[in-house]
Amino acid sequence: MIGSLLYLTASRSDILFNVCLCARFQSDPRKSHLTAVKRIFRYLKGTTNIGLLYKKSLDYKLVGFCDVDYAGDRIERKSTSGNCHFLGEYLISWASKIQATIAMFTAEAEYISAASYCTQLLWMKHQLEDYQINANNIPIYCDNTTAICLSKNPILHSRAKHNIEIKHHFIRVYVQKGILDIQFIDIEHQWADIFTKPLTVEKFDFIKKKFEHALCV
Amino acid sequence: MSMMGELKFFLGIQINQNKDEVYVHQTKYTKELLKKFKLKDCKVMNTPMHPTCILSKEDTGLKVD
Repeated sequence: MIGSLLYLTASRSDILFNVCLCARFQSDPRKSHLTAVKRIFRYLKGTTNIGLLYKKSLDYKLVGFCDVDYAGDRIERKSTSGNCHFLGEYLISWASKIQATIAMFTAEAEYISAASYCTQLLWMKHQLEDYQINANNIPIYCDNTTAICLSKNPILHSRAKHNIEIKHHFIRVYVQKGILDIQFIDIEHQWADIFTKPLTVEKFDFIKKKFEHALCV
Repeated sequence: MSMMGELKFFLGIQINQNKDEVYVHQTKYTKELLKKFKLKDCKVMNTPMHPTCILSKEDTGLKVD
């Protein structure tokens, strides 16, 4: 069941988080987990024809969103990071992943999330360069100001210097070079929220509407 | 692929193309899944998961596999 749903996430970004969450219990599935999977199917039944719609456009602005659910995982208290990238108005890439390290505070989790997905943005930037489209100052929207300050300010704070692995600091290099630009966004417009936690109907529909150009009914 | 004309259906992914837009979806695949797992007549939900749903590994409920 999970495997077939995972394949479906190729065009369905709205169920990605839920499918990934259920997939973590595959080794010893219980009744409650099966109920959760069935609920995904019940949602799918009402929305079978959602997909990705790409209209002709000359807008090649690359934008990234990253969000995190701090210690959302009940078992190991790891954080879940989610991100989505838009080219112009259209959703082109999305991910939801549990972080490899355990974050000690929210800003750290946000920072790790932003850093790990900036590689994806850099890759897309190089792809665009093949088509003579040069993107600089690519905005990454993040809803945590501390994480933004961490990426802009090369001074190591006492808490930050011990906890965050060196590999995550490479985002700073790109921020200083002016290739990436981390900006603040309020939680209301944080579209990557859908990839980090189960949402209420209102919020879920709101984000789905924002993806509307991508998710066409 | 060029010999077979425009790409319309590939590995369960449907692609509708016209002059100004490309629409990629898996409608057929989704419907087949619902049929396969005998959930065609289930009730429809608005979201894929309850907002307060907590799944845990220490669940002592019935084993389903």
